[in-house]
Amino acid sequence: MRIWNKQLSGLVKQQKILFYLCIGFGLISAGLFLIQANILSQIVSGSFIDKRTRSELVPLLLSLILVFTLRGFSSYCSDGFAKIMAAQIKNDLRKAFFGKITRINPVRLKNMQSGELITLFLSGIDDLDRYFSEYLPQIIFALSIPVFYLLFVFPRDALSGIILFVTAPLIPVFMVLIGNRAEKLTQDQWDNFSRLGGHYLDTLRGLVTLKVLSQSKHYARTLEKINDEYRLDTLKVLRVTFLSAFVLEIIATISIAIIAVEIGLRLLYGTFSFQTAFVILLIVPEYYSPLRQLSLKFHASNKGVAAFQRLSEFLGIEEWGNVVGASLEGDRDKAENLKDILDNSFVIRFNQVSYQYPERNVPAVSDLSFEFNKGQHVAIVGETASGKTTLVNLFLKFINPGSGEICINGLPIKDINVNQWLSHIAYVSQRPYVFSGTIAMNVAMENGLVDEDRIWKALNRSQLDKWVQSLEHGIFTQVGEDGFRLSTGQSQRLVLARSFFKDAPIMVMDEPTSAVDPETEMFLQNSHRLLAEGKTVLTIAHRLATVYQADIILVMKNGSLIERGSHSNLLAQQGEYFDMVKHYGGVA
Amino acid sequence: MRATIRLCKFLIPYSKWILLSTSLSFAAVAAGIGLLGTSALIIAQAALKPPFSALQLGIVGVRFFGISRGVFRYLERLSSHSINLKFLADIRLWFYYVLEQLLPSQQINFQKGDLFARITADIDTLEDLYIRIISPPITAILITVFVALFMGRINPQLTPIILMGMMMGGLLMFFVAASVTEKSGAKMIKLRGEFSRMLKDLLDGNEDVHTSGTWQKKINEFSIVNDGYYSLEKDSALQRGTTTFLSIFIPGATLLGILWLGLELVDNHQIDGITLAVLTLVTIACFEAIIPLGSAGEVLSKINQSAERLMLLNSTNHVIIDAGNLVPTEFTGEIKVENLSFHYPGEINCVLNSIDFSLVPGKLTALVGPTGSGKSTIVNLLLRFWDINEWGISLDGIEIHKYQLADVRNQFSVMSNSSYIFANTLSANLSIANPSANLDEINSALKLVNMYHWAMSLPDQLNTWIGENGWQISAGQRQRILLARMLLRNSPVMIFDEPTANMDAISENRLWSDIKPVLKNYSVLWITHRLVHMDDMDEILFLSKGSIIERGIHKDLIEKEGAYFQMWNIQNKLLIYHGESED
Repeated sequence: MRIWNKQLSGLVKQQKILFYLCIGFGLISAGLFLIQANILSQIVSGSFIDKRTRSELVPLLLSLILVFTLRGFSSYCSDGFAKIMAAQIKNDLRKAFFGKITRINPVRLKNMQSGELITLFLSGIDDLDRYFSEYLPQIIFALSIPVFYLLFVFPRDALSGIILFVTAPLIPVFMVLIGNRAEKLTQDQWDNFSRLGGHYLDTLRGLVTLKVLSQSKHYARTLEKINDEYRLDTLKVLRVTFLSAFVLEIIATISIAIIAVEIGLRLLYGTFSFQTAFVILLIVPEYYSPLRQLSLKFHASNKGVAAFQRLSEFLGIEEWGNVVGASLEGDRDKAENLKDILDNSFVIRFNQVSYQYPERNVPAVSDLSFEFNKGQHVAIVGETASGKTTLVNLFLKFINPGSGEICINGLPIKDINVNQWLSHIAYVSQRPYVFSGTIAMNVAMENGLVDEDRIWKALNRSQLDKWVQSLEHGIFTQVGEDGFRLSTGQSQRLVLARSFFKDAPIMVMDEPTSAVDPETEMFLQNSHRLLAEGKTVLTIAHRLATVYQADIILVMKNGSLIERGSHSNLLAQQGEYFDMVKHYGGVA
Repeated sequence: MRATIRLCKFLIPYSKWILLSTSLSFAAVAAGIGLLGTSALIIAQAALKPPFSALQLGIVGVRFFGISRGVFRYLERLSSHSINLKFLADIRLWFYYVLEQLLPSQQINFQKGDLFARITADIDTLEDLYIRIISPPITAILITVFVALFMGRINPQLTPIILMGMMMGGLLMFFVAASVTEKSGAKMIKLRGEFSRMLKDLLDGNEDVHTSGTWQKKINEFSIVNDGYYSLEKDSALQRGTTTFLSIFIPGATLLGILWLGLELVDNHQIDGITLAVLTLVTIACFEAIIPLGSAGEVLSKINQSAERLMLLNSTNHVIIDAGNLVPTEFTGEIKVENLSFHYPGEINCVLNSIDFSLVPGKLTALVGPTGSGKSTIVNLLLRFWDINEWGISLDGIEIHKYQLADVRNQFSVMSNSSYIFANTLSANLSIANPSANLDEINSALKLVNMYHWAMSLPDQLNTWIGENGWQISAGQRQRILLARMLLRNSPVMIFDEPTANMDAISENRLWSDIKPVLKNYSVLWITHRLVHMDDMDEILFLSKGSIIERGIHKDLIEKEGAYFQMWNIQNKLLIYHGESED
């Protein structure tokens, strides 16, 4: 942990004005404190030494009110601006985070834990609040305010000034000395802490297993033991880390004591005025306060710094293309006639397409060459990890080929804007995702004005209309995370309705791998047929029925296309496909 | 708030420590007041130029207070953190027991988010409970009383002013801070919920968002929520500034009150100027005990929410009555289920309807049927995770509730989807099933499941760390480790609940050929929705909507051409892999 984090402080650059306002008002507040101390000393000394009556002191008392009210107000401003600055920076980070999600390749995103990212967004960014609103301004205050006070004290009393001047640097020196040792201990402690946290979490997750093994009671004792060890270790560390606070405290209090005695003695023998003495006494405790605050706020901001590291890792991920505007390589002109192409006859050709995921050392697919025409149904079959999904991802432009190209009527699809391209494709993924929102929104994928008839028609085709009719709010029923819970079958139907609604000329499907109950299975097969009618279809197929009906079957193995042809052709070849069907289907 | 108070009862065992720590905290603040008070005393006395001896008491005072304050503060920190750590450890353990009672109840939705991670985060939040919520008010009260008494001795008229200033000030700061966070807190939680929902949609439904071309809409939605959140934060920034303002204004106003009266008292010669100087600094110093109340108010609502969530789970009580006292000599593992029906409390629909079957050593029984037909409920009932009124399950001829609970559960070993591999060593993961198992037994269990050579090839053999952040194991290896765990447990009845889920067909075949020979001495219940190796089964039960609608051996069921046949047929029309495709 560093005192000054360059990257984080860099974020303040955009909020310079707010930062200056915060510092400015903080310094004003410090200046007002000096005035307040001065007035206060005049009041006390006026009454005590000059024997002035209360009524004579009323103007001073009134100005005292004014000064501490103003001081409160400037601190209010200083804190307020600091908080607003933090809010601004967090707002920017949230926008950047969200924007990043829109621009990261879906294939890449799929490999990330959504739960972790959500936590990073929600807690990680908020953890930064204290860094910006408290710690960062405090660094400036700790460096400037003591100097400010010193300049005030020196002309009035050089000796006290020297004491203050000498003791202040002692604080950082001692803190560093203790801090270094404490830092190592704190690091160990963190490991320890995350181990304990991890262990507890792990135990809770495995609790059912423990219970099934009737070990849950026994395990509680283990937990207790670990808890105890952790506690004792932590205390050991705290004994050292609290030492730095102790040193700070001792230096501050002892200097107060020394100054009080030293001033007292000079008052006794010299010509030192009581008022000056009193003002210095008022200032000394405040002199150490910014440094003390800094050490407190340093610890409070640690969490944010840790979160920022993860945050900047995420924000640094390579981007895939700007899906919202024009794609990075997209060419609008060439895409203009895409609709015409799709309306007339077209041929889609994979030309020696290869792709290797950045973090892998073998290509996911290599040298894929095949073509299909408008209206043809293509089924892709093959074992797990044979490259089927990669092929589909390439076709959907989720990834771009490493070499080779995919063309539609000779036009490479990499020259087509992603959004344009995808607007002509309906995609049914293996695991249907139901968004939180209304049924209508889930079908039409947009809010606002929707064509209700078209939605009902789509629902009708996916055989969900009767059920939706029976719902109180019909197509405006809330579903998803916070709404009505759908069964797997219902989710599947809803997602299919989405595709019926979109009615795009090209369909891409990833069939579910496991068998469900006979009823849903029947339905899946029927709707597949319905959806595919009159469309160009690319399916990762797991059902023989789908494969039988396909015009072209692509058999994948280890990233290569090893066989291709119609069902009867391939059976006649007695190759891989034949084995596959024989082995699993028992039909030959 | 009520939940927080209830959690405070965990602090009762440490009341002596709390007494110590709050005394130290009081002493530290009091020493600070003493330091400034005596400092003022010294210079005020010195101003009157008395003989040096008159200052000596004050000098001793500042020296004492100057040193003791740091020491008190240091000890106070250690003691309060020690209490805090003990308190958190107790909460963790208590909550472990709460969950231990509850699981695996059907009434908590553990799938929604990661409940467990949330619980641990909630417990961590309670870290602030003692240090920031309990301790500061006690110190504040003690200091207020102390200062009020001190000033009362100087002049009784001072008491109401200082009491007003400290008490009202403290309460005001606490409640202003609490109400600000409470008010904006509720709105923020709502918006955070929106954020979380929105992000989940975007992340988990990412491909659909891309293909449906709805980015612009999603971005607009996000902007609305984000703007709302941002303006809430800006509002709360200004409200937070209010607390800062109060922390300067209240001490100022109180000081003014003291001065106003003090000056009059000096004018009337009721007190001297020295006292006035001391009063001024004492008033400034005593607010050290009051200022932390603002931050107490700030964290209160967060702690309340965490406490409420924890207590909510605690109140979902579901207790299995362990009233049986029959101690069996030796179980043979014969299970008879007769006319078993079950519905969850509060629900009308029966999950299970007149189920009959028996498990006998050496017999393989398969329980098959579509998802949601009630297969897993049968396991929960066999293991008595749920109690039922009409008992229909007997073990060696005696109804299971007449035995002790632990004895019943010890007769079963279970492998299911939720079987957990702990973040621990391989041997710890195995011996958890039987803490008394020795190395030979562990090794022979591994050999039986064909994992011995694999284990020996690991970097640290049996001491290799597996589970989260540990050595990566495949689905097949995982199931074999779980099987070895079952074997070590040496219970007569083995239950497999979807053991081949997430496995591809080839691994599934291999696993079965490894398992099959091992099973012959046990009573086995094989639960699955995948109809493979069914011809090895001695009896197949086809469960549909809570009832067994067909039973028999594979050949007969196929010939019958009923529901089983239909399901078999569909499955055979599937090509290959049933696992998740990972390419």
